[in-house]
Amino acid sequence: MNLLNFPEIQSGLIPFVSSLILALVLHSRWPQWSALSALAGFYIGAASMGVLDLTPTRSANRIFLLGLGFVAVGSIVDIITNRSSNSLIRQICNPIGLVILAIVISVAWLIYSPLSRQGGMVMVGSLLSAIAWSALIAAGLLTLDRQPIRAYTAITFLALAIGICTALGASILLGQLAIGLSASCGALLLLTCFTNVQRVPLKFIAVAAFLCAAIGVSGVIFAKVTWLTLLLLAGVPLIVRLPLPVAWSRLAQASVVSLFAALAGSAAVSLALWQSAQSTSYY
Amino acid sequence: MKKISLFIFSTALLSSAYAADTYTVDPGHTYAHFAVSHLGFSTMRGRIDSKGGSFTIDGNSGSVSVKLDPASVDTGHDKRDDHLRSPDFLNVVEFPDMSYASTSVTLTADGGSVEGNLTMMGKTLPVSLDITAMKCGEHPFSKKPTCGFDATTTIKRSSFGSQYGLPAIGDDMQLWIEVEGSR
Repeated sequence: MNLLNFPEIQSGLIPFVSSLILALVLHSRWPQWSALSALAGFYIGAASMGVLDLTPTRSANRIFLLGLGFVAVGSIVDIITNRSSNSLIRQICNPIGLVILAIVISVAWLIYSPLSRQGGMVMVGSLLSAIAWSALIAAGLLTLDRQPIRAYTAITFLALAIGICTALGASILLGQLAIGLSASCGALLLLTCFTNVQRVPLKFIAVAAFLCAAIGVSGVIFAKVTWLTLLLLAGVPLIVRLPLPVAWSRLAQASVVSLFAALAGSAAVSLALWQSAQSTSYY
Repeated sequence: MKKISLFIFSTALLSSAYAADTYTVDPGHTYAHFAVSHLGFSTMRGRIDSKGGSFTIDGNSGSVSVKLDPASVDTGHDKRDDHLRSPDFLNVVEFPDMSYASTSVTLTADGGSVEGNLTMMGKTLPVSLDITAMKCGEHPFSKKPTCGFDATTTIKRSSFGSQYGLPAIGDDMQLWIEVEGSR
């Protein structure tokens, strides 16, 4: 029996352990490099699912390649934001705004080809909904960069809920990818509880936000997830902002913020579960 | 000169009378059935409808081109059909076209074989079909010249990019293609 064939191993254990090990190995360069270990965990998990096949070009492949592209975009933004606040480039443009724009354009490009075959109001409506939702998710996550507990919790629970909703929709594979991202970020959330990290690199949040937005929208286009479910999921990056006593330990903060995020996530999962229960399940 | 022209004209007429017969596929009687092992316990069967096509019979050879509609996949279970349409399997939103086009056809008294290319999930790979039954004649109702044949093959779905559930859900996908067309 090959353990690698089990979905729990592919999208749970492998990304979590890979991410954790890499973060520990790279701890001296925390958080700049350690945050990237979550992405490595995600890609290793995806490889174990056998979906890192680059031909033919399909949405999953584009998600993987664009995800890597956002490492570069995020790195540039990190450099810009680390400079003094009155630097010329920061006066010309808002770096976080640029990343949000890049995420929205990438998600729209990802789904444009299949939507263009449907044409008409379906295409326009879906495209506008995808743009609005991607912008909401990207803005919600990117602006948490100075609150590591909240940022890692939001990404962990958002990706988990997207994964469950997508698997309940029609695509277990897309669902597994999102759950793999959640497991990778979960490892970093665990480490953040025991360290004194003050900031999450934008290169990491940019990729995670893109992956969440892209997989969520793909769930609607390819796997029968509804826009209403995504709307409920957009509550995750918002609810983690609820105020907490500053005196609390990081572990206590993470526990309470996780409860908030789980609450918003479970609302979306309940809706997906209810919609899925309308037809007879099978295994 | 007049005699030569007459010879050329009559030869052309004669050759057109014996030219290859081209049949237009009847989508109502053309489909693909498939079978895949379900966890080794049983065999799951389903059907994919046709979107049209044509075939030609020219003595012992010919050609065939059939378009299939993967979005029509039907296994008798709505939720499973939704899953089969998803990126886990047929990925019909991204790849709405599935087709088979022959490169060579050999017909014999009891069937024959077809060499050609199957396009599925955006990948085109060579696939050989065995013709297990074939009949040509006048359709009893439409009175049109009609031909039909059954063909079968086995492909590996992983080679077309469908990795989901391997190896529990079988990699070998048995295909039966039933084609009928009229002139």
